[in-house]
Amino acid sequence: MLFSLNPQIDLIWRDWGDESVAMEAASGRVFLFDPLSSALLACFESGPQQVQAAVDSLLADLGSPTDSRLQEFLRAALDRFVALGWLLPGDA
Amino acid sequence: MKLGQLGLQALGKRLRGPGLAWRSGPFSIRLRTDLVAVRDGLHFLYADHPLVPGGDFCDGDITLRQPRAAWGWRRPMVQAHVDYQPIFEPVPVAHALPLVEWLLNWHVTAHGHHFLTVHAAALERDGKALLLPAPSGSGKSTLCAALVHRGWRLLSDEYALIDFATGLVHPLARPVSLKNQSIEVLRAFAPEAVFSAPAHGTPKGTLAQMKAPAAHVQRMDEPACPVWIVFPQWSPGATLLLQARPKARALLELTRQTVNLDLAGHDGFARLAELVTASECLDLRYDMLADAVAAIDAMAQAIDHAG
Repeated sequence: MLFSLNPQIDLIWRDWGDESVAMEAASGRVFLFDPLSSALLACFESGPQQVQAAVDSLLADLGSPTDSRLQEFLRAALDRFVALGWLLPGDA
Repeated sequence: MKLGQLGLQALGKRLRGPGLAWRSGPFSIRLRTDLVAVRDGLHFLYADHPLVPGGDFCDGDITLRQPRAAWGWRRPMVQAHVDYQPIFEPVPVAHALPLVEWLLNWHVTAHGHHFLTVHAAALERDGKALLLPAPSGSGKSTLCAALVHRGWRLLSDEYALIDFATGLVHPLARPVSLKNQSIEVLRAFAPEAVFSAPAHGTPKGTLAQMKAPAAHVQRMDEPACPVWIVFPQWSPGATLLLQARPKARALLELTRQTVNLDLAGHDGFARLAELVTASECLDLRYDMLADAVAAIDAMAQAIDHAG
């Protein structure tokens, strides 16, 4: 399924090695992310992506294309971004 | 002229009439009341604070009056008004002095948006500021009061005011509010500390205000550069622990304790991120106050020796 970054979401990030912090401007909410989750969201910055393609690309970059636990982790991260409203289904 | 230079009679006349206006750091308040306990409490706690000349602009106008209507209260009550609008539920007259402190805190958080307002104690030593961000009940005010009596300059016990442009912490230099057993803990730790008469039976229990040292009040216009951010957590029986907190987690907690971050937006977040990047961030777990103070002093001395 295709997902896109919500154009109404305005994020500011700060990264420190193994963790990142993001603030969503409209709500003022602040979130802590691990590097994998941050990298997954970054996949969608270039445009709409198929979910599996984004996950596969990230796993390939990590040198672990068939790691099922990582797959599961990334799927959970994706669900989190969708629940936050940061990723929307379709071509936003 | 300082507030304490007014005699009690003159002070009472101003409070009953045009209002008593004084300044704490960047905030000035005008108060009107006929309550003798408030008069006496202000004369004691704010003796070293500068008065604001009559007629000059003040950031807020507070009135404390006993309601005329028979509300069926069993005890004499007092109603607060800010800028002539009622605020908060009436409280017993015996709690009027803590009410003044609550109103001053409210004023900072409601109107002080030219600063980033962090729910934190703030102190300074040798030009370097220490922030103690923590939710209520973590022991930050008690620790702050103790550090004040061990060579640290009081900037604030409740809200750290961070300048958007410079990142400096600006003092309020107001009395330190302590509650319940913390009052006796601090009396034992620092017998020289001076307290207001305790107010019993408040929603937070027994409250007392520790007077800010005169020398600290005199330096209320001297901000300081934050160097340490220590997240304190008092816990009975805890083993003393002062350890580095990962920067991302420090920023996350700092944002949680910043009361006006939603108004400050990206600029506020960026300023807090710079603060975290530039500061040493640590977690402090402790039971004994003396141990916590010693650990913080050692932390400060380590950076002194490092130059």
